[in-house]
This record gives sequence, C-alpha cells and structure tokens, in this order.
Amino acid sequence: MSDWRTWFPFLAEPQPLSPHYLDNAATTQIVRPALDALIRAEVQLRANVHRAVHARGEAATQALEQARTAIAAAFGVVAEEIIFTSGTTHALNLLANGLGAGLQPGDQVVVSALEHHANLLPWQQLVRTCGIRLVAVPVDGDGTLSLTALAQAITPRTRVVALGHASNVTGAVLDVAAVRAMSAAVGAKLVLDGAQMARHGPVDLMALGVDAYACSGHKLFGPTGIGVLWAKADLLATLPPLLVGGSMIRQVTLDSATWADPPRRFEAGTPPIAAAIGLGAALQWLATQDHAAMLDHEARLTQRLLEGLAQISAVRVLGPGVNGARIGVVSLEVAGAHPHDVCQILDRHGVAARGGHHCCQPLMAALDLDGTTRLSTAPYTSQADIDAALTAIDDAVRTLT
Amino acid sequence: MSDDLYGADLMALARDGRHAAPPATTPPPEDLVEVRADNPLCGDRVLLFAQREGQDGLATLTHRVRGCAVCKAATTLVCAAIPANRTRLDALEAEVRAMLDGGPVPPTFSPLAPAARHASRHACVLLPFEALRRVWAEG
Ligand SMILES: Cc1ncc(COP(=O)(O)O)c(C=O)c1O
Repeated sequence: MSDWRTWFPFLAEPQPLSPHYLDNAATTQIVRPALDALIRAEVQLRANVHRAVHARGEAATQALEQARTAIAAAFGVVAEEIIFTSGTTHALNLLANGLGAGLQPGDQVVVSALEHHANLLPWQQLVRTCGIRLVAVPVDGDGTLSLTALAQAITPRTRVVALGHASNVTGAVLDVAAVRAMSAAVGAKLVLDGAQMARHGPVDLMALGVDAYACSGHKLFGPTGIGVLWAKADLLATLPPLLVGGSMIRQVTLDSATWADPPRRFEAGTPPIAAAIGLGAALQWLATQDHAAMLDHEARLTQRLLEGLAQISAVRVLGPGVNGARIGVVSLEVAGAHPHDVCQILDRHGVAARGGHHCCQPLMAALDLDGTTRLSTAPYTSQADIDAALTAIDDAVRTLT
Repeated sequence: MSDDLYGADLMALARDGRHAAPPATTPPPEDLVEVRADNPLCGDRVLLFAQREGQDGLATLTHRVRGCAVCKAATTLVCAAIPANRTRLDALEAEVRAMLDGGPVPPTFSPLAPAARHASRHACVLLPFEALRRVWAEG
C-alpha cells in the first residue's frame, strides 16, 4: 500500500463520512500542504494584495505570486500566462467570451457530445452573441469520441477546437497529438478542458502544444473556489476581460478605462488569495511525488474495479476498457436501476459515488441514458475501497433489479 | 420503522404498473390533460395524464416516470390516491412534506418514510405533487 494516504487529513478523522470516497472526479480531498498553506494564508498573511505597502500585504502579495509561479512550473509555462479563476467553469467562460470578440459570423467552434456543460455552454453563448456556428462531434454507442468524425467536423472555417482532455463520464483520454494536428492544419486554436486530466499528468502544456487550458483546484487536491486558465501570452494579449473593476486597469476616467496587461487584466477584484496559495502548495506537493507510481497505483485499482464489474451481469461499463487510454473515472449502468438509487445503496456501504448526468446532458441523451453511476479513484484510494464498491454494487443489483 | 429506504414495499410500489399510462400509440381521449415535472438536478421526470371531473376533481390519473425508485413509488401513491379535489391534494402534500421534515407519517406513504433522512431525495418524493398541481394550472 502506498503512503499517499498519510498526506490526506480526511483519512485521519476518527470516523470520516463516506470512508470509501470514490467521488474524486467531482472533488478530490485536500492534501495536507495545501490545507496548511490555506490556513497560514488566512491567519498569518491575511491582507489584500497588490497595492499594499505594509508588511502583511506585501507578504500576501508575494505568497500569491509565488503560487502563480509554482502553478506555472507544474504545467511547464511562465507565470504571466497563469490566470486565477474560480474554477474551470469561470476559466472557460473567460476564454470563450474573449475569443468571441475576435470571431465573425459563420466562424466555427468545434466541440464534442462528450463535453461537460462548462465546455459547451460558453461556446453556445457565442452562437447567440457572435453568430458563430457550433459543431458538436457525435460519440458512438459507448460514448467514445471518433477521431474520424472529428476530422470531418474541422474545416477551414474552424477557429477553435475545444475538447475535454479527459472525460468526466467515461474517463477516456483525448489523443491530443492527433487533435492538434487536425486543428493546426486549419489554423484553429486548440482549447482543452483539463478539469479531469490536470492531476493525472504531469501535464506539460508546451509539449502538448495546445493554446489554452483550464482546470480546477478542488480536483487537484487543492482548495475549492480556485482554478486556473492558462493561455499562450500572445493569445491572452488579444483577449478582452470578462469582468471589469478593481485591480485590472491601467487608467480609469469617469467615462473610459484601459486594461492592465495579462494576467491582471483577467483578475478583476480581490482574488481568492488563500485558495490560490493553497493550490500552489498542492501543485508543489504533486511535483515532488513519484508520478509514475501514482498513475500506476490508480491504473491497477481501476483495473480491479473494471474486472470486478465485468463479473456482474447487470452492469455495463461505458467508455474505454482496461487497456484503453483512460483515467480512473468509471461510469456504469445497472440494467433496470436508476443511478441515484444505486448511489444511495452505495452510500449505505460507506461508498461515495456520483449518479446522474454529470453535467453532460447531451451525452446522456445521445446514449439514451437517464444517467450513470460513476466511481473515480485518487492516489489515496485503497484496494479496500474498490472492494467495498464492488460489494455495494452487488447489493444494489440485488436490491433494485 | 425500517431504516432501509429500499424496503420491499417501496420496491413493489416502484414496480407497480397499475397506474402506468398506456403506450403512446393508443389514441388519447380528447379531454386528456398531459403535464410534466422535471427535476433538473437529478433528471427525474414525471408525466401525468389526467381527466378532470367537475371544478376540482379528477376522473382518471396515470403516469409515466423516468426516474429513480423513490420518485416512481411516490408517483404510484399519488396516482392511487386520485385526490378527489385540490383541497385534498394540498392536504396530502402538506402531510408528506411534514413527514419529510420528520413529522408523522401518513399511513399510505409509510414505505417512503425512510426518505425523510435523505435530504437529497426529498425532491424525488415531491415531484409527482408538483406535476399534479400543473394538471389544474395547465389543464
Ligand atoms: C470535465 C469537466 N469540466 C469542467 C468541470 C467544471 O469544473 P468546476 O465546477 O470546478 O468549474 C468539471 C467538474 O465537474 C469537469 O469534470
């Protein structure tokens, strides 16, 4: 058994709620260094940032900017390209809104039917506000995105290709190199929703060759309420802000304003200072871990889960099998049972799972499902957690079908 | 009272097809009112098909539910009750809401009593009432 469990305070609770926590695709647990940094920021460093001339404010500003640098380092980019947001949703709204300002009616944005609503609705808005055409690439019967269909959807009018780096429903990992080749061939920007994939890296954004990337701190062992938008400096320089107000300006008169350079242009108001500092600490911690061992641990548990599920005849698993390109996000259907009932029975066994559409209603409609039951692993997941989940699913099948 | 939400009575009610609407291929009577209530959080959907009687009554009430066992069982109970009038419906809904708040259990709803302890499932129990109110609002 790995010692990752020792890093996560929730496991030290005498009686943790939902001790078999397998809802990591929704939110991971916070890692000790992130929690410590968060508390320190709220106690020792609590002050507003950027314009302070007192010691406390300067220390807070420095810690915030150090967090930006740590986050940039974790993704192999420079700090000026890291924008603090409230999460992936905010990041993708900011980006889509900004890119929209440069799009013409008839320009195309390509997404897929697998997208989380956070990577669909901001682009849908551009249909209304800018007259763009939104092209959604369909998925096949088990929720797999076909690269052939994607290639057909990308045309010389495509300006943006926006896809999930890994699916929060099926766990399938996108073949970024193949997609980059397609988008580059028509000069389209490639935007990845990294909410699920960011912690499964290391994600080297330069090596991936994408133009923009969004992720959330609460899925990266960090605090809630913080996320990141990264985009190439030359792209950021062209984008207008989403929110305007304090801290993001160069000059303001009563009837006009000019914007600060990125990243400040996109960080109107007081940022989530402590959460950002906590996220910096989480990513610094992640960088010190043996990534290969961590991925291997989760892959072995996912395999155990998939093999166990394959023994239960009423269960159908969506997405890639054991050997597919996948992360430890497993969605399943129990024939004749609703996912919320399945999850309720799992809860009885202390297993936290998620049931429903997972903010992917178009995918559920395409697959003609009410929803799925989703189990998702983390480095602190144990074999006992997986076995508890399998026993609980057996119970759900017996009770509900 | 059993602690188990998925007791035999609840599962039997969830599977009970007596009040299920006939397949859509059957031509519906002209005075049939069709209403729908959705829970966007969990995706539960209740369709009710009613024939009104007089000012405030119902002659027939059938359902089609796409949702969880709790919602299906609650819808079966609501259809079985065919509230004679709106006043009775309001009273029944108030009793069920009180049950979910930890109050006394209306006898016919006892299979759903364990849902009181699961706040995330209260909406599943209440969805058929929301649909039924629409019969009068829209019908
Ligand atoms: C793939 C994907 N994209 C976007 C999001 C939205 O993240 P957040 O709610 O942190 O903004 C999620 C979270 O559920 C996700 O899984």
